[in-house]
Amino acid sequence: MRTRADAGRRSAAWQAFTRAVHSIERFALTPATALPIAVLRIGLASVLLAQAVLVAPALFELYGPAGILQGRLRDAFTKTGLPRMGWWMDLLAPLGVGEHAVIAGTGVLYVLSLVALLLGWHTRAAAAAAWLTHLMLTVTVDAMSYGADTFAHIFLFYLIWMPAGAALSLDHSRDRRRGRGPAGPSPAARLSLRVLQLHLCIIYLSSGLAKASGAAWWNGEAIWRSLMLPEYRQLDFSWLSRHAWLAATLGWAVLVVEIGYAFLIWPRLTRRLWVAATVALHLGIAVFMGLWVFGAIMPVFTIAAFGVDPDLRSPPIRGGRSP
Amino acid sequence: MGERGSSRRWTLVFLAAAAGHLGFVILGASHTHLPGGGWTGEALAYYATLSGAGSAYDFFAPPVAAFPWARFQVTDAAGTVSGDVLESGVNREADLRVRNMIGFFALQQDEAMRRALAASFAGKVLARHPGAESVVFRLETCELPSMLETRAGKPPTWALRYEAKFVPRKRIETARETREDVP
Repeated sequence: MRTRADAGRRSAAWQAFTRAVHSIERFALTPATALPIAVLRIGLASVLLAQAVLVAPALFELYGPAGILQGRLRDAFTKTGLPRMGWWMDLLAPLGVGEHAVIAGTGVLYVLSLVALLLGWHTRAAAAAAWLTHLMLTVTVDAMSYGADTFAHIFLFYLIWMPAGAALSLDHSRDRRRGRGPAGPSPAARLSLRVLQLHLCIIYLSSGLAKASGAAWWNGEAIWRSLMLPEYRQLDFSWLSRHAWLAATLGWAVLVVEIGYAFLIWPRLTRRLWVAATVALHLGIAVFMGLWVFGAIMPVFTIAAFGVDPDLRSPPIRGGRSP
Repeated sequence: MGERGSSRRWTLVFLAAAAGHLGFVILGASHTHLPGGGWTGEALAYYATLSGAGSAYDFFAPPVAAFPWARFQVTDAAGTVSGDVLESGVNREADLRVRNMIGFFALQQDEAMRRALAASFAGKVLARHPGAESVVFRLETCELPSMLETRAGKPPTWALRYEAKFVPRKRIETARETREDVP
């Protein structure tokens, strides 16, 4: 038999549920400008273009049939079912198009799509082309890929769906000229930004917890090895062995920045500090470990997600009310 | 009103899609695989790969592992031995990718695959030394002493992980014809 108490509890539960839904809607769907997503687009395209310039001289060495992985050995390690250059090679071979042409063509298409993405010209199509060609290049010789490629893949995929051309772009300028009106704040931009922010929190939290699960980042040995292993060593840090406390402190700092990211980058009081600390962490990776592309790409994400205000207001009209 | 309702429905659909995608991201980051197979499981796994949502982020964790180095000892017809590496030296980013491939070799368990990869690497080096009689491929990792061991004076050393010798194909054929011993 239903009682008044039961009805009261159900009503309270329903109210709590609707409050939660409204909070989520406010968090994820309050209209925002596309400025952070545009910064992501421009920053990511810039870094990937620089990376493409660096890799270009070794393109055939890395991807060609007479390269480091020769002949069919290259295909043996390709993940089946994913788009790869081998598909195009098989398709175009009967037409007399050789493997070198396919590799070069994929590289050129990748670079052109990045340029279009940087400029915000047919942005969505450019993002799709950049994502697809990047995927084909990384899948073809998956053994070469590393962290920077993983993140490029993830965020190029995002740029296909996010309103990345709605600010700081040729698309936006063209729409204004054609009288389609400025792309103002939109729920899509806010939702895109929240996905970006939450994904970064997951990245840093999982990375920090994985580091914290071993002793090396607590006792400084991870810092020592990062600086001294010959594959990373840029400067002579042998003196650090006599100041192990410093290495341990730096290890703890990395753990604090990464684990703290998910919690302390949200409050306004600590946001700028955490953005700065994260940028410094990655600049350190670039300078002291020689991982320049990785060190450049990661700050782009944090600066776009948490360093750019999505709620910029237009300046007030002189002598009148603000629009 | 109808249009506004439709717009709100689409907004909630996108919100649910974003939440689902972030769910994949959490699963990937925690190395959790969805149970079950079938076409649904395969489709979801394919989406996770295409979108990158299935990626994990435990870089340099828990320890900072040493990367393997590939070194080649090339012997010419006069018996002179010279050293070479796979990296072209064009720039660090290109060389990093070569090093990742060498690291990939080190992860292989199947001996036949390791041999095939080593032969591919050696073939690349032999192509740079047309007159070479043989090349020895050595995979080594740096054994970096800890800070405590370094203070005690222990130097870094190199540990041999794999070694194989390769001879150009035409050299084998010539040896067979002349019944010589292959170096």
